[in-house]
Amino acid sequence: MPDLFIAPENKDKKTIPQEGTSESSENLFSAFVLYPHNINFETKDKEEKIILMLRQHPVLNLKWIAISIILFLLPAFSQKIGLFSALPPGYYLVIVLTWYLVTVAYAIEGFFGWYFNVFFITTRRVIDVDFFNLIDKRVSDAEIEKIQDVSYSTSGPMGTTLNFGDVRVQTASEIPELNFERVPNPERVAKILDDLRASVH
Amino acid sequence: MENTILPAFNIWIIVKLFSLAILGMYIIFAFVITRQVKVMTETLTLGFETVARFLSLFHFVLAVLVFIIAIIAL
Repeated sequence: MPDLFIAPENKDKKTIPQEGTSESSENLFSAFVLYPHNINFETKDKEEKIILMLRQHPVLNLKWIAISIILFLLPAFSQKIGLFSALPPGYYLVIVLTWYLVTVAYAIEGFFGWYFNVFFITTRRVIDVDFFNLIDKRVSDAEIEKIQDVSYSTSGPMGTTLNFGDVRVQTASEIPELNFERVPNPERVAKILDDLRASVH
Repeated sequence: MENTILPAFNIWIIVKLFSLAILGMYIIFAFVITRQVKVMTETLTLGFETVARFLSLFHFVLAVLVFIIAIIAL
């Protein structure tokens, strides 16, 4: 007798990757690292395992790098046009040194602002670590079971071309929303979070 | 007419004091950065702690050097 109904195969496969897969490169400056080694954070429990570590897409560093290069070149340019020629020589020296000092601070802030702003997805929680302007720090987290909704978006020509975007995680915890801004593979991140939610509920 | 209220040489002294005050505040800022980087590296272990601390210390030393040069050069 022919089958009247055949249940479709479940094509909605789980996207939580298994540890040991080589899906992401792990180097010092990676922005998407699955099961990172030698990476830790202050409030991590012993039995808690980091599934994914995210940073903003590396291409976003180009802005501060370009501005830093321009700032480094400006004193040479100002000397050519004689901008500070009316000042005594000692003053010119101090102005140039101070300029380079501020430029170094700007470059360090740009790099640290990218490097230390990380997102973690662990077996228990989602954690957002933010450092602002080198002097402010904020760590937000939400339990996986308290996640209510996950959405993602990619926008702009760069985001679409290089596949980075925002992942918004709405939670029932004290912090109603966590934003993973301009992270690589936002769709993949959202799917991993969805599967983690499904495995908890 | 002679300017008896603010002679010319006093202007440069005021500029020097003002510059030193700003550079002094900058040293405090650079010191706060070294503390903050210490907090960052304690909060997160990402494999870059030594370089991060060196960079912040380098910036602090640079700020002190510029302050000393300003005392001498201005």
